[in-house]
Amino acid sequence: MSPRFDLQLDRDRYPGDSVAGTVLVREGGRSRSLEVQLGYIEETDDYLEVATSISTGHLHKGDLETGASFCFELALPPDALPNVTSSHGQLYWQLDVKSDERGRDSHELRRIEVD
Amino acid sequence: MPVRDGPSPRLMTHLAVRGAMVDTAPRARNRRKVTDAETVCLEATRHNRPRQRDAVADGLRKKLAKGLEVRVDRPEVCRGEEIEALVVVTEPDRLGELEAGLVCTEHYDEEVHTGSDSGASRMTCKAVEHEAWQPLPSVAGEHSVRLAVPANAPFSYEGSCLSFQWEVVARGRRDRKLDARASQEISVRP
Repeated sequence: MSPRFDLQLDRDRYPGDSVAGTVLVREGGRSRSLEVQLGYIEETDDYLEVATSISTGHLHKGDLETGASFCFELALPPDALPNVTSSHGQLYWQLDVKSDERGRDSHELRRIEVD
Repeated sequence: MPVRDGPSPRLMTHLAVRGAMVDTAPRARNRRKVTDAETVCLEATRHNRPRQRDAVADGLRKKLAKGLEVRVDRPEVCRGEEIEALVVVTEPDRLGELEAGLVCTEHYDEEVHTGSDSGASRMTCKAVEHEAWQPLPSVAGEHSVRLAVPANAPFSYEGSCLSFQWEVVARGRRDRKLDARASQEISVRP
């Protein structure tokens, strides 16, 4: 069974310093490792590219138990660009809680606002 | 009498140019109405020479812009600020109705299906994301203009599948003819 997560953040908007939060394991399951990635995403109707990615590294290795929690903090680049939406695409920051598993990985995604 | 399962490729191309659905394959995410900008993209795909077509049109507009020049001394500005530019007009008679403006062009990658069996291809299309124009007197001389960058507009960005390019543009609008166009690229910071 794949684990499921809740992502709790300390704020809704980030004025360009760091992003901190807690990953709560809502349903435990098989996992090789857990990490959080913060990416600046370019998205059009048909394509998605990660322009910049920052990772916490492994927050945990091995299976995940229900109720476990992991704190993390990721520093935003000093020149972090803000989110923007246009007619045919968007640029935005997104947190990705990723559980590396055999087969398809589990993800919990959360878009954040950076000023 | 033979029965066709769907519209002919020729009809599909016609529908695409008219703004109808173009995708015959079941591809929910891409199934939507084709906009004017995308029509340009589709037409370009048919000829398989999009960049060459753009380059030819841009080259013609620049050639027509003899006697029209844009100068920006400080080509960096933040969103929400104004940029100052100088439009130099030396041959007003051949330029038509003059305007100066600030233009943001969005370049975005899109998967394009033409309705044939050749499958999809990745195309970079472009569309005007923001433009604001002000009239200029059609007389020879140096015309100073101030142009405002909206605070919530995109900033200059060059990415893999999405980019935003800003320019200060001067154009001469002529009835039923290609506009004369002179421009200078600027950098809009967040």
